[in-house]
Amino acid sequence: MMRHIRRFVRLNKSLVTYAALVCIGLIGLFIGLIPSAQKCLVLAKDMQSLNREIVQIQKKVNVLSSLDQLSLEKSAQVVIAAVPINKSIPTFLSTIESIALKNGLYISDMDIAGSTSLATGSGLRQTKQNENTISAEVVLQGELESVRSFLLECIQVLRLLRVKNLSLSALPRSTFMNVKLEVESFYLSLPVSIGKPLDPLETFSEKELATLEKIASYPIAYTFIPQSVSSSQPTVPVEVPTIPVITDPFAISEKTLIRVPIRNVTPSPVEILIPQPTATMSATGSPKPTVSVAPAASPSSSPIP
Amino acid sequence: MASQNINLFQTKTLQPILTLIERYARTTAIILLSIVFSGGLIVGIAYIVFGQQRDSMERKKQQLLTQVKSNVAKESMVILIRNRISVIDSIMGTQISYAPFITTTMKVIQSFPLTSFSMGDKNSMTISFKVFSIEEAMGIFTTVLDMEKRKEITNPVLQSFTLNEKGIQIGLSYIVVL
Repeated sequence: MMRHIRRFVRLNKSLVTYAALVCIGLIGLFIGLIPSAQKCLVLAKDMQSLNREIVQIQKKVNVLSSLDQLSLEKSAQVVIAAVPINKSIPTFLSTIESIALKNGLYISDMDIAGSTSLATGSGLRQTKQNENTISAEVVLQGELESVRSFLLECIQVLRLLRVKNLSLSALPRSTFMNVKLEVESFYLSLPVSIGKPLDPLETFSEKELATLEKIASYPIAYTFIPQSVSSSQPTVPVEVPTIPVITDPFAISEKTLIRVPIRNVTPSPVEILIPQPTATMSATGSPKPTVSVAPAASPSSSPIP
Repeated sequence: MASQNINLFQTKTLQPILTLIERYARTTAIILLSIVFSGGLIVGIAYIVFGQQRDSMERKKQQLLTQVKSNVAKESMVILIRNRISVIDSIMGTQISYAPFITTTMKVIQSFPLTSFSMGDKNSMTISFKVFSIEEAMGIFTTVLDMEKRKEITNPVLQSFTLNEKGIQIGLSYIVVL
């Protein structure tokens, strides 16, 4: 068998050589070239997607750098004043009260509808954005012109209000009207997430800017200070101590005590603490503080001079 | 014809099919090897170039991401504002101003005391007020008709007219044109 093969090789040496070269070529093609070309294609696709991402992020960076931090903070404060992050009942009541007082109406009755929690789960981790309303039935009394001004102003203040179910009736023997209405206000929790860095970010549209401008022109009717949205401007400038400085307010502090050694006392000298005279005491000419110690266990002890 | 070959060993095959195969094998080997070598060269260069470009793009992306992260406060504020603006838009779309209804009523009743005021569907209103003479009542009706001509109100209806010793109680309903 081997002899036959050797003879075939010897007789067809060039054929065998070319066949071997074809084999090498095929191996190179299928093992080397095609996988490398596929890797190159993957690389090219990666580059394309990377390029798209870069364009997107670049656009986002341009948008972010074109925005002014201070104006954003102001706008954020305005929109939060319009729609607070929680029920914020004080601002709701304060808004209604201030508009009523400004227009010469007085509130004879106010009833916040339904049971309402004062806090909106501030300690809880939010999983979705809550959008809700808070409403109150209000009874006002005043002139018809004042009622008109009140209703006009109600929809042009921050925080935003919506008036529903209006009814008027005249008070007996008076020019005053009794106005019964339902005032609704809104709150919206903060966004749960800000998205991924690759998410696109557009500048404010004309419509959004118009809304912002309109809202910013409305006065803030309530007197409650809203929470700052900026981390650079803390709302509480002074640090409030969380640990009490004095545990017992009636105890004499260590600073006001002087240490007096007792030498002539047996069996062993001890130190006792006596109150140090304060400024008031010295001003009134109080004598040097003395103390007599007569321990029952030591008859030989003498009073301290 | 005598052979020109002096070799006693037979070095070449005499089968023509093998000669044909050899010729094709040679051509195929040349083509295949040239494809593999040239293709390998091109792919290799492309791989190096693409790899370098991808690395530089990756670096640029990281730099941009760092810039985005440094502006995260701005981004969160933009999202907050945009989020609230859409809500504010929808709220403002549903806010109803009752002031025009009061203004229209004040125009109708002039300075006479309003007794009651209630609102119905589609801007319809019903009011009742008190006047003290027929002339005053006629004046009110004239005003109402004038307002209808000016398209300030539509469909005015006299709901009630009661005259007694205390005065005249008039009930009117109309639709306010906003």
